Amino acid sequence: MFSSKPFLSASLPLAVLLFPLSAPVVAESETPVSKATTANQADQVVVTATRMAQTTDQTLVPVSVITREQIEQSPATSLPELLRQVPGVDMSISGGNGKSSSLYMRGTGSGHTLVLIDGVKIGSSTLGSTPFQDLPLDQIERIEVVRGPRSSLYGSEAIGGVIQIFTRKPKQGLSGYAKAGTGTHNTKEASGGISAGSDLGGVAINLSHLKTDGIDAKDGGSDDDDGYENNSASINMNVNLGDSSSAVFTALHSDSRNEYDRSAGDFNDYADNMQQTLGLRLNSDLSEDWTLSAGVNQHRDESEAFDNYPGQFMTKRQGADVKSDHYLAETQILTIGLDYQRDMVGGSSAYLSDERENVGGFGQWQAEYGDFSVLAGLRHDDSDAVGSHNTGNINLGYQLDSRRRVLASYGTAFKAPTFNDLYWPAGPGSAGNPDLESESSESFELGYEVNTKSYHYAARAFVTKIDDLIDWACTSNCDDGDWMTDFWQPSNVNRAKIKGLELESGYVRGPWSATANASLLDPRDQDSDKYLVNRARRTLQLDLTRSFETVVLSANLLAQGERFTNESNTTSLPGYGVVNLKASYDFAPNWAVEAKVNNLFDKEYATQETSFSLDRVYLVSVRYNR
Amino acid sequence: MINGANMRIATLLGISSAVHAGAFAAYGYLYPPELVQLSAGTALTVQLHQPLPIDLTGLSVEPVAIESEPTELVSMDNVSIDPESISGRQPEGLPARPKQAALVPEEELPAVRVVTTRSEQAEVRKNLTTIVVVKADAPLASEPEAFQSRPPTNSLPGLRAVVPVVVLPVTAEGSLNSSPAATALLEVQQLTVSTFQPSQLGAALDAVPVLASLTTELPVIGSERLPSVPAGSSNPDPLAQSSPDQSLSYQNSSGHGLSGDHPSQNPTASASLEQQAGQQLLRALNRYFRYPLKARRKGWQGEVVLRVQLSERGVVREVLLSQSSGYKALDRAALKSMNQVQAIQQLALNGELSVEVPVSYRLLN
Repeated sequence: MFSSKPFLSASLPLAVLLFPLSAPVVAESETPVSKATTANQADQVVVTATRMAQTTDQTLVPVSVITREQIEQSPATSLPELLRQVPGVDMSISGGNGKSSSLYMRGTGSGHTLVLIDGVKIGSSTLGSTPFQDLPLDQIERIEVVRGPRSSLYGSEAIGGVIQIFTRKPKQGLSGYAKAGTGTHNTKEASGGISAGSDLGGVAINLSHLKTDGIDAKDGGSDDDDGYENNSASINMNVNLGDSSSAVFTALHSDSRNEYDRSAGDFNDYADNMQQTLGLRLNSDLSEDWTLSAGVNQHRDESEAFDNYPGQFMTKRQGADVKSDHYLAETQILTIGLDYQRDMVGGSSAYLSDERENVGGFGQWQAEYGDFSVLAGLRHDDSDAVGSHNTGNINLGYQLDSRRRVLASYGTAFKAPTFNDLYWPAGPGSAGNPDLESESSESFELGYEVNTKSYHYAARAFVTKIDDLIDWACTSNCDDGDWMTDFWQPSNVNRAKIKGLELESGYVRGPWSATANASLLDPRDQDSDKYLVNRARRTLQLDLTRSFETVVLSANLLAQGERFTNESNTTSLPGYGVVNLKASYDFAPNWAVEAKVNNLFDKEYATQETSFSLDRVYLVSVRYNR
Repeated sequence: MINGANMRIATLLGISSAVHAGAFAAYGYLYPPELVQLSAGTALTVQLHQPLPIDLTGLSVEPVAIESEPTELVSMDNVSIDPESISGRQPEGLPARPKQAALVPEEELPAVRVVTTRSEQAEVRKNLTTIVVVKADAPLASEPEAFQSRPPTNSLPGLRAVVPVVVLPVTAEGSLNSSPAATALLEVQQLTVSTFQPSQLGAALDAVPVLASLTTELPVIGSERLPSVPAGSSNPDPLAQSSPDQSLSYQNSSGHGLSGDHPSQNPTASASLEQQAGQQLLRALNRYFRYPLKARRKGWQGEVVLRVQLSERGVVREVLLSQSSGYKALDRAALKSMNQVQAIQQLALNGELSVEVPVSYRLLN
């Protein structure tokens, strides 16, 4: 079925063989001479630093930032394709555009990554999943991917990491764009946006549309193509209220129809999905050393399935928070905050409980003492459904010289059970389990980083232990010899231990830029010592971009090793490698044309059992900017 | 299946070889080996283990301006200022700086290989890019044997670039040592590395035998090539013969190139060298400047212009805010950082100097 062509079907040896490359660079970095900084800086001292990521500071925590420019240069056609090139991320995609995708950050589970849009937690509270596939790239300004636990700042789910997505922001002046494209599988896309901004504030409005016939998503079921359509809109507005205050309103709405094969036989199964995120935030500098921020937000995630098991699932989440930043000194920040979240679920299933509330209070302290820096955080969560949790983290960094840094961290995190886990209505032989505990984790990490203007690289080793992992287990009538009477419930039955090594590197030289990341994982069930299901243990990600005056070319490679598809590790999906290309050409003032080739070598592969992945697809679009 | 696995391994090895070859080729292209310029004023200690085969009788050279107090010979890493010792303005709200730290360089010492044979000397001269001036702060020894048994000293760790150099003996007063005693063993404690070119010394250099060449790596500031020296420029040259003093006075200009209103004292110095020296200086300063956490968090960027008053020895006397960035946090950080620099040791000026140092704070990404 999955022909194992020799081309990059095993990625680990390549990743390992590539690694020695960094050795000469390490030696190079030990002198305090930066070749990159010698040119063109004749008459000034230039002090540079990375802009602090909004999710958490990347000088102490590994954060990958994807800017709008990088999104536009990337060959990726969807958010899952973009995210799977990020170090530490492993995506499992069940089909082409719009098909459900799961994200495994550093080998943790698919529900172990907190996903925020403009600071608002998204995703379904019933399934616990995040619909990455329904968030169009055209609506995204910036993505921050934080690896490692952050529950001490954000509460539940931030075990493997946090992904924060920012919608398109207004720019100064008046600008706008329109784009239209077409491609393989009868794919049509169109998007456009306008932005206006001045000293008073600004507003950006963006619309996008995508429709594709897709491919047959599932090996089995109906053999038809499973298409997808998505329409989305976003508004991002800010108003400056005097010199020291501002208000920001963000909204993102996405409507989609997704075809899939669930029913056995020739049915046209589909689902209508809707996501909507609304946020309003006030920021105020009360004094030079005190900034206060308060916000209210709402997220809705709705899904209605039209198949042999029709059903409707709705999540509505309301939140409010207040956060206070105190600059104790120019090199010390103390942040304290309080947040409230109410999850409400509804739809065709009668959950035993359809609402829960969580209140969290947190404090975070960041300080720099010469070459030494520290970030420490503590958080307390109290939920009326799953009780209270205390989480904490400490991150330490030591600057060895102007470019080299060593890092160490420890953090704890948790994930509250979903409504499905807790309150799924009882049926014959199964029910939800309201007595579930939260899954809890503990992580250690050591890192070594080298950062200069022209290149960076990092090596990080980490261990994450997760207790009380929830899985279905027989809870009564199990030993009566009659499996028909067995009663199954979600239970805190599993423990996992994940060891990992991440290698990252990036180079910029003139018009060239390149990144190479390798990730090695040992994700195991601690009781059976088997590998966790659906984690690729070896991943290699390469990106290469060359800019000319009017042309930008970029290529990327993703190579992953095999992943097991069952707990006994007897069945697996083979490793694979895919290459994607993109070229864009500014053929006239304000006009550009771009072309993408996805899966250049037409590799037949899968990252989800019984699913197909996109074959070679072409996408051509024309863009007008002004 | 086995064939398939072998095929796969072979493919991977092929890919790996190609990737490695490509990467190393690219590395060689991106980072070509280059000559390095020694920073002026680097404080080192050398010990010579053999009598110097030198006779400077009759050679007259102007005294070289060498800093004689140990404080100025210390690299900037170790320097801090006692606030009371300078008239510099303390920005409000800043803590007083710590008292002056011990100013003793802690580095290990580089070994020196004494070049004695004619052919070796010719080889060193041929590749000569830098001249090292030795300041003899210990009396010239009269008992060579006492030193011969000493083991060679060690190299500086973590540094690179083996640079052919010529060591010139200079007395504590700063003049080229031409006393007959120089023919005896010389133990020197401090080696001032100056960015002289062979042509700057011309025939004066030619009259001095190559005494020693450093065989280990030296600390490097800056990586630009010096302006290329024509081959054979260290050979006897009738023009240079008449002006050794002018050549040596070049050191006085080694700190030029700062953007500032420095009166040019030496019209013979090449502009590009001045600029290089200035760039070196600015790069050296760069290490003292950090982005304040608060400004990074708030996304503040801007340019602060500082006015720095320097003594003739390069000691920072006063730091003033010449132009604000618009953000107090950045202004304060720049003032504080500049105040941490006690002296710019590369500078040997012919008077006080007031320079403007623009400090640009930029956030990436």
